[in-house]
Parts: sequence; C-alpha cells; structure tokens
Amino acid sequence: MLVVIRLAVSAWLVYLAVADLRRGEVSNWATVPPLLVATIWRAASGDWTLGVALVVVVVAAECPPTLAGGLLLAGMFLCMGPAIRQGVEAALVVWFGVAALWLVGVLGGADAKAVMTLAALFPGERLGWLLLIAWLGQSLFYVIREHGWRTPRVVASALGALARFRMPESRRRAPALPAVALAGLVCAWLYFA
Amino acid sequence: MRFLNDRSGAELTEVGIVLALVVIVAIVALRALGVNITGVLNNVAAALGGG
Repeated sequence: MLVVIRLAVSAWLVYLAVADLRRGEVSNWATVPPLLVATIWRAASGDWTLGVALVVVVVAAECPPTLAGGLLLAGMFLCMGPAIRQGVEAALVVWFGVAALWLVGVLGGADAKAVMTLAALFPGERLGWLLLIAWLGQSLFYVIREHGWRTPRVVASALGALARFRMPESRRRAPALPAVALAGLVCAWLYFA
Repeated sequence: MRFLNDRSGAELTEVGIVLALVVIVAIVALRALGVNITGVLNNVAAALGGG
C-alpha cells in the first residue's frame, strides 16, 4: 500500500513539474482535487485545523490585500494552538506562508496549491526545509542562467527593494513546480512511512 | 474562488532567492539563540484565545 501511495504521489508530482515547464501553468484538475482530498483525509484523521486554514485562505483571497494579510495572520495564530496539539503546526506555517506569497504575487496559484497538498500529506518540518532548499537552488539556477556574474548585484538589488517593502524592478517569472516536485519526491521516498 | 481558480505555476525568481535565504537564516538564527519557535507561536495563539 505504501509503495502504491508513493508511486501515485510521484506520478502526480512529475506531471505537475512537466506541465509547468511546458506551459507555465497547470490545470486546476491536477491541483484542486488533490488539495481537497489531502485536506479531507487530514480532517478525517482528526487534524481538522488544515480544513479551517483552507477556508481562511480561500476567503482571504477574495478580500482586498490589506484585509487578506490580516486574515491570514489571524487565521494562523488562531489555528496554531489546535495545530500544535494535532502535530500539524509545520504544515500550518507552510500553508499560510505560501498563501501569503501567492497573495503578493511571488508564487502562482498552482504552486501554492501543490505545496499545500504536500504539506498536508507530509506535515513534518522536513518538507519545509526541503522546499526552502529546493526553491533557493532553483531560483539561483534561473537567476545565474539569466544574469551570470551579475547575479550578486541582482540579488542585492532585490533585497534592497524588499527591505523598502517594494517589489524588485526585474520581475522575471519561471516555473516553480520542478523544485516543489523534487522536495515532494524526496519526502515521499525517504521520509514517508 | 480566486485562489482555487489560479492556474499559474510561475515564481518571481529574484524574490525567491531573497525570501528563501531570509527564512533559512532567520530559522537558523532563532534556533542558535535557543528560541523555541513553536513555543512562541503557541503563546501568541493562547493570548489570542485560540490555544
């Protein structure tokens, strides 16, 4: 059974990565049902906080940006107590983190939904670290490929803009799901038991 | 359902580097300082009435 789950998750992740690399977007059929199934499965196991968090994220997405940010923050802190008791606190932080990144336009909707699904499946801290490292590596790859030796200056410029609460002038976008898929595959095959 | 309908799979690359680095450095620094992040979040949640 474990191998079947691993294979199914792997096939789904590979599909997401390939679709994103080819088209820059992924059909909602490949992201929404897995997110709902993973959330419902968690809720059925007693970890209902992720269900509440999903409602908060969907509602916040319909609000003006300032209100949405406040809603996400309030939702995270209100859900944190039960999440810690249920052992899904790392997943909750990942959920609200990627929702905030989607809200400000750093991540696409398909990326956010895929990460949230993975966090529901693998709620431990390891997935968060794997995602961060894979995201950093992938972003570095894209920026070095485009800017070469100017990379440190480009990153410093982006850091300066973000420190002033502004988005960098260069808004180059690239597929994010390959890094998400890599982190998910490592989690599924090495840590999921 | 703006969130559920968004099909985009693209990230902002420069921002990705900066944010990933900031989060990694912040977590490592907090751990090095001996701050129990889960405890802090739990305390805030309790203060807000969710704990």
